[in-house]
Order: sequence, then structure tokens, then C-alpha cells
Amino acid sequence: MKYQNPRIDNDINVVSEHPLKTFAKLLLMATLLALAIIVLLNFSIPYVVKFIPFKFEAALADRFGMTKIVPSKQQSYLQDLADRILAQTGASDEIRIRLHYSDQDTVNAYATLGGNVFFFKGLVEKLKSEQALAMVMAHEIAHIVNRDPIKALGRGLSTAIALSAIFGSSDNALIRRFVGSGETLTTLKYTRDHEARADADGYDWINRLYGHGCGAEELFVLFERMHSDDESRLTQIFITHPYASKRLQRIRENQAGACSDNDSKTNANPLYRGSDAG
Amino acid sequence: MLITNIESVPGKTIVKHLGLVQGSTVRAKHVGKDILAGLKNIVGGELKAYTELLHDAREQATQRMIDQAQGMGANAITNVRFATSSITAGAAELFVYGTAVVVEEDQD
Amino acid sequence: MYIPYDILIIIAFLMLGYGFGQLAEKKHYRSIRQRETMLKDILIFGAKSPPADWPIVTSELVHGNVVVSVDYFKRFLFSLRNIFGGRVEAYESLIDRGRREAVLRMKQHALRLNSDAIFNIKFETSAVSRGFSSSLGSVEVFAYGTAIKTS
Repeated sequence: MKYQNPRIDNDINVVSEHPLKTFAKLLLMATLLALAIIVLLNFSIPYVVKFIPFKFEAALADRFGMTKIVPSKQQSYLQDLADRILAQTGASDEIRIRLHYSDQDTVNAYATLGGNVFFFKGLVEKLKSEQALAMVMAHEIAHIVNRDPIKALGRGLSTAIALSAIFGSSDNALIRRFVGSGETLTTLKYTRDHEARADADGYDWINRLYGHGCGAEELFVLFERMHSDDESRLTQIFITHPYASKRLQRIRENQAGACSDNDSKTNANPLYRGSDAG
Repeated sequence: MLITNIESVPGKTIVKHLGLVQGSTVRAKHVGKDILAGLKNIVGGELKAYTELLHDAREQATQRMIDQAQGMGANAITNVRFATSSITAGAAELFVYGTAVVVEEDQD
Repeated sequence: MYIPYDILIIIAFLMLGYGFGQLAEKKHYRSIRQRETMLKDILIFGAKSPPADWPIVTSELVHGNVVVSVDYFKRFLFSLRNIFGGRVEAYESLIDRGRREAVLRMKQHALRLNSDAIFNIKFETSAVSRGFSSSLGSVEVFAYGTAIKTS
């Protein structure tokens, strides 16, 4: 037998492709896949939501501790207003509004899962007429009736599902950003379409309740004015309610000039403390 | 003690087989090493602390096997095999075994 | 302004992992190739025993081991690769480096004993520790064989 000792090429297992190229390629593929899943899931949400009973949504909200309503003069007034508007909507009997009043100065109101609507002192005390308050209420109720909270939650969840399916449980930080915990319920993001529809529905119901839509514009007038005085206080409300002036314009179109003399047509908001209150 | 991982001891003749001998040790890494390893997990590279740890553990297992073989009066161990198994996260068993034999110089 | 710290940390780790990881790998491969040439004359065989006609003086067990760790960038690359399947280039080079390094250490051990050849080479590869995620942390490669010295 003959022995030789040639130079052996040991580099056969070494890859020549640049790792950054592989990285870019894989990242692109993963992103596209994630987007495809998210789009697909989001597209199916409105169809799926129809099959989720409102009771289930309410039970979910209870899980996050939203059951407790603190009774107060303001709360009962607002609850009564909510019930009167709800009666105009023709929504199924299953849907109930649970109104929460908070003593904070935040200029905000929001609707979330299970018919829970939150009103803040800061906003309630700034609106002069009952109709303006009713418009805010009707807008929030429209979100509930249109099942926007569960749709928004579904969007967050579908993103989370897509990301966790793709990136596994290894990159939790990414997933946490999109799902979060119960706290996200207060900041459910509605799409611009949902907002526009809630405005339109809300206005219809105010019209039905009072026989006219006068006073509905006050909220947006307030937004515009506050926007010019103090931007930072408004950032919060502007995140979910973009284009205040556009929305004001839309309401003015609906009123069609019938509301030039507002004071004779609107009732006073008993909780009004002056537009500079708080 | 002569140790090989082949069936014989080249250059010698096996005169007696004494049976299987083995040595084993279970080692856990300590926290300090783990912190360093955590850093290395970001930048990559050789984990010298682990390399030494496993090397020392294997030496110890081998020493135990040698002690056992010496107790039996053997002067060589053939057909030695190593086995490594991670028993639980953070601990590994190093196992070594072979055949204890008595060898003599070749008679030629 | 909202700053996504978690994402920034991941990006920083990726850059660190890529920078140091690539540097270390290049350096390691250079040293591996150099030592492979240097230790070329210690012959290694997969065969069980040396030919009967070799004038053997001594025989002894030699071994070499190394634990190599994968960097953050490669682990991330793997988590992406895991979605689509296919060749995991990042880990191939890791294990390749480990195995060649283990062989070199075994040969160095044999060199210290003035041996000429190593027979019956066996390899063992095991995952030593799990990283902070469930993916691979580091790999130990152990190589051993019987070193032979001829007259």
C-alpha cells in the first residue's frame, strides 16, 4: 500500500455567500409573509366579527376589570343620555352601554369592549349644549354598535398571531409591541373609516332624537380652538380623531345652514362649567 | 496505563481481558462562567471557560476509569469510547468506558 | 416622542454580533488554515488500526475539544431561516470551525507526544448550553483517536 499526504481542501463546508445578503433575503421573505398573513386576517375580521356575540365581548371586558361603575350625579346623567341615544339606533337588544365617568381633566372620551364608554370631566365640562355632549356620546355609541372595539382588538391580535407564527416565541419584544396587555384596551385604535362612519351614524341618531342636528358641531369647534391654543393637550385626542376641521366641515354640510341660531334650538348641558374649565 | 481507542495496543500483545471499566462525572457550569458565556452569546467565538471545564471533566472521568482498571490489575485500556450527554439545562455528564486488559511486549 | 427601545436593542445586538462575529470568524479561519498546513505531517486515519508492518514504538489516546458559541446575528439569521427551511449557512460554518479546531487540538496533543499518525478518529458533537432563547447556544466538538509513534 502506498501512502500519500496531499493538501486537503477543508473549506468545502464554508459558504461563499455574504451573510448580510442572506440576512436581507430572509428578512424580506419573512416580512412579506408576515404582511400577507396580516392582510389576510385583517380582511376577514369584519366577517368574523358578525359571529362573535356581544355577550362574549362583554365577558372579555369584565376580564379586564371594567365591570365597576362608580355612581355619581354626572354618571347617571350621562348614562341616561346614552340610553336615550341607544334607543334611536335600532341596535339589537343584546347591546347595552355601560357608562363610566372619570374625574380627570383629560379632554377625552372613548368606547371600548363590551359597551363600556368612558367620559372624562375635562371634556364633559367644556361642552355648552346637551346636543354637543350627545354628539360625542352618539359617536362613541356608534363605535359600540358597529362593533369597532372588537374589530380593533382583532387587528392587534391578528398582527400578533402573524408575528408569533413567523418569529416564534423567541422574539417576544416584537410581539409585545403589537399586542400588549389589558392596558391597550383604552387605546384601541379605530381606523379612519370607522371614525367617519361613527360620525355619520352619530349625527343621524342626534337628528332622530332632537329633530335637528344643531349643536353637534360644538365638539369639533372646541377641537379646532384647542388645537390652535395648545397642541400638547390635544395630541391624545388627535391620535384617534384626525382631521377635526374636515369632520366639522362634514357636519356643517349635513346641517345645511339650518343651525344659524343655535341657542334657540339647543338645551344647556347641566354639567357645563365654561369652555375654559379645568 | 496505556489507553487506546482501538481494539489492541499496537506494539504489544494482549494476554488477559479483565472486562469493562468506566468513569463518569456530571458537571455544572457556575454562574460567573454563565455570565461570560451570555456575553459571548452575543458576539460569538470560543467559550474558553467551557472548553476547559469539559476538558477537565473528561480528564477526571478518565482518571476514574484508570483507577478502576488499576484496581483490577490491568496495565492498559483498549477500545475507549467517550459519551457526552446534557442531563438538564446547565449540567452535562461526561462518560468514558473501555476494556481493561493486561498487555506484554511483543515476543519478536 | 415614542422611542422603540426594544427594537433598538435588537438592532444594536445584531450589529455587535455581526461585527465581532464576522471578525472572529475570519481570524479563526485564518489561524485554522495556517495550523492545518503546519500540522499536515501528522497523518490522521479513520481506519481502526495501523497496518501490521508499521514499526510501532508507542500508542496513546489523544484528544482535543472546543466549545464555540454562535453570535446574536447568526442566531437571528437562523430564526429567520427556520421559517422557510433550507441550508443554515450560519450554523454550518460554526460547526465546521469547531470540528477543524478540535482536530487541530488533537493533532497538537499528538505532536507533544512526538507521534506520527492518529488512528480511529472519532468525533462527538453536542449542544452545550442553551442560549437565552430556546435556540442553539454553543456547540462542543470533541475529537479523539489513538496516536502512534513509529521508529
